[in-house]
Amino acid sequence: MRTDDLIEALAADAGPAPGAGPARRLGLLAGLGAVVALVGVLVWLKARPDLMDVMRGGFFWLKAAYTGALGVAGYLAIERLARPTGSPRRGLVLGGIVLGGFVLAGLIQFGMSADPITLLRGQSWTRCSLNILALGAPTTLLGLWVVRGLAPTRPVLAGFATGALAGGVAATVYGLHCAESSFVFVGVWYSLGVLACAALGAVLGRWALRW
Amino acid sequence: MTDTETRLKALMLRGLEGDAPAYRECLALLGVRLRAYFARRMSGAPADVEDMVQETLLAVHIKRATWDSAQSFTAWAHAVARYKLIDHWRRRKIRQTLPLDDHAEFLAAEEHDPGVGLELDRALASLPERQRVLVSDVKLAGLSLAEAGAKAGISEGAAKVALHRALKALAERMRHADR
Repeated sequence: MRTDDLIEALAADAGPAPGAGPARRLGLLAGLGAVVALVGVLVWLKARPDLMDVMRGGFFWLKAAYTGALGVAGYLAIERLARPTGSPRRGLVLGGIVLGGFVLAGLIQFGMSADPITLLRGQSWTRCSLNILALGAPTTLLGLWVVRGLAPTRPVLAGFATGALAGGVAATVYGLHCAESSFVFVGVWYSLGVLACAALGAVLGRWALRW
Repeated sequence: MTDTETRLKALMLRGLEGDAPAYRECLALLGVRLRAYFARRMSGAPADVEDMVQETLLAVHIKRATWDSAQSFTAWAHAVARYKLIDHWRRRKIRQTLPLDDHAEFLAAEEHDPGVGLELDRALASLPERQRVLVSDVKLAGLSLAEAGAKAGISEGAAKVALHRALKALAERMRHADR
């Protein structure tokens, strides 16, 4: 076929691209991810019984702010990486600062505690990261499909950011179930859960995010 | 060079508003630049150049939502072309690297004779009958989308949706056409 003929066909389809723009699609993905994780928590894990009381405390919200910020970092990165010229810098910077800050607080608490190993194990160290991965994996997969419809040119990094977005959302909702409340525990196991989602996104993104 | 950017961007913006002649001109100008870009980098496989031009034009069209109109259009189009070339090499297991920042040179294109792309015909042939007829009808100059739709017995709106799907399917098939 001659290229002029192709251009003729493309010109007949001139106009705005159908459907929502990248930011809107990724915002919808985050919202849907929260719903999926919420259903998972309510049906499968159950909300923590003292939820109403702890919502008045500070650490509940601090924990939510930490994981929420990781999700925002993922969003900021993928909103750029889903475009051919996009740089993940702003997402990486935010994610690095937030992760670094919380892990540093965890290290300080670990160092000052009389029984740091108990802090590290909490009540649920064997399950925490895996639960977050389970709650975030569906959104990671859905996210890869959404991002594939955009135009990422760095598939591994784009997959990582997609997974971080999904994992951050899932971990934040997971806080409704999980009663752990130390910097050490959250800094290690929540972070690992979010990173596991990001790693899943990166591994799958390597072949899924081609167009 | 910045004149080219200004001109391409203005045409693209009008195309996004539904101005078909402006969009045609934009893609034609872009096609010339893509041909030069690929010809320079694919001297080992000149027969594939026109296929790459066509695959990239299709991608530019289908992925146009990812261009942020506050940014340079040529930088975006160059990034699409660069990605398509790297993807092409990857699938053919050719190891090469491409500089990220040569989009200024991307603008300064000398003219090359357009060849004929073969992959697109192959991809087109594999489309369902209705989509294939629609694409063939609109590409023949003179037949508008409304007329092509009427010929197929569907409204202009439905023809637009069908054409969009057909172009998406074409882009997907071109990538997977055996290379």
